Amino acid sequence: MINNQKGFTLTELIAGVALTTLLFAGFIMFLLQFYGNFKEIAEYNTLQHELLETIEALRYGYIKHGVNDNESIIGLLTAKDVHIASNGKSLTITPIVVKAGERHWASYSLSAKGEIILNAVYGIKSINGEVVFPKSKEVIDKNLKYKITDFQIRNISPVVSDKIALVSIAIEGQVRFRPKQSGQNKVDDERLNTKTARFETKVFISNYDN
Amino acid sequence: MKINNALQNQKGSALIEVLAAMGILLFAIIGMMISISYANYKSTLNYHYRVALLKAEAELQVIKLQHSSYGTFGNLGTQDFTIRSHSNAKPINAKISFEVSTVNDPQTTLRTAYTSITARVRWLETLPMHTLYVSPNEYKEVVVREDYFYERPQ
Repeated sequence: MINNQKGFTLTELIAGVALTTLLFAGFIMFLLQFYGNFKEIAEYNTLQHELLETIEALRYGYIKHGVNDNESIIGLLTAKDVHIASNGKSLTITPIVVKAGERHWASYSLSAKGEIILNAVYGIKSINGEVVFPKSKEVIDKNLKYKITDFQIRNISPVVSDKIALVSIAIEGQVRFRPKQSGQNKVDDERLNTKTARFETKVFISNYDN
Repeated sequence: MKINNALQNQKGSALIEVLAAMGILLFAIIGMMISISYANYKSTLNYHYRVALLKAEAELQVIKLQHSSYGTFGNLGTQDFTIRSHSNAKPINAKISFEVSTVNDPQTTLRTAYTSITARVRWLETLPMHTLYVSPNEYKEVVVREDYFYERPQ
């Protein structure tokens, strides 16, 4: 080995190192892109899942462990009275109360930060400022990573009554994958760095005339 | 001795060996790209299913209100609507149709029968880019049913 004087020329060495670096850099960039894409898909699925859970909370009610586990939950399907704020961003549900003299209600509203907040009273128990959406508190560009971009509750009851018999729910959420890059306008930023999901449904308040 | 031989070996790799290594790497990269495309397709499809399910549930709620207030099922004609996965996505045309059938099932009970309302949402799904064969009938469907029981006249 010591007597072997062949080795490589400087040109061969430089070319070899450059090519290997290029190949590794390309492969690592591909892997990072691959990981980034998978993360975006997973986060978009989380957004969809949490939006759907919020609709289900409005429809059936919300359970906070340790507070209303053993109470009948308050949702649109068990509502007796529904009050919708004039801007459609807040909803208060009053159920049929079995125990006389007890106050029971649940109110869902959209916060300025884009969260759905629940305040509720179950007799002597209460839920204050519970964030129903989003589960994550992660912030990107001083805004929540997952936020509500549209929340509309409307009375679409065709029945002539002073009470609400049918409500429509529209909820739109956005997930931000990365901060806005310099040089990107608003449209490019939303197209490249965010994704939105929108769900709409209607709920019949079957106890409205009780 | 073996180490000395290895260090003195100046043969390098044959072209076929380099090509085989690159082929394996390419195979792994293509596999990863297909998995991304498939995951993206499934995520979008999942979204479309959820939108369709909520639409079917919404229309069944309207029918329930009609039935509860007026004793009829109201207008059960086919409706067109669009599903848009996000603001830049191409909208997908979907249809919701209804079927009504009255079922007398004496095995369940002799005194009751029920009217069954089935809401069927159908849409043509855009297939992912990795799909080699595109079927012209790649329709997806969500079916939701609600039964209205009533006492049968004796």
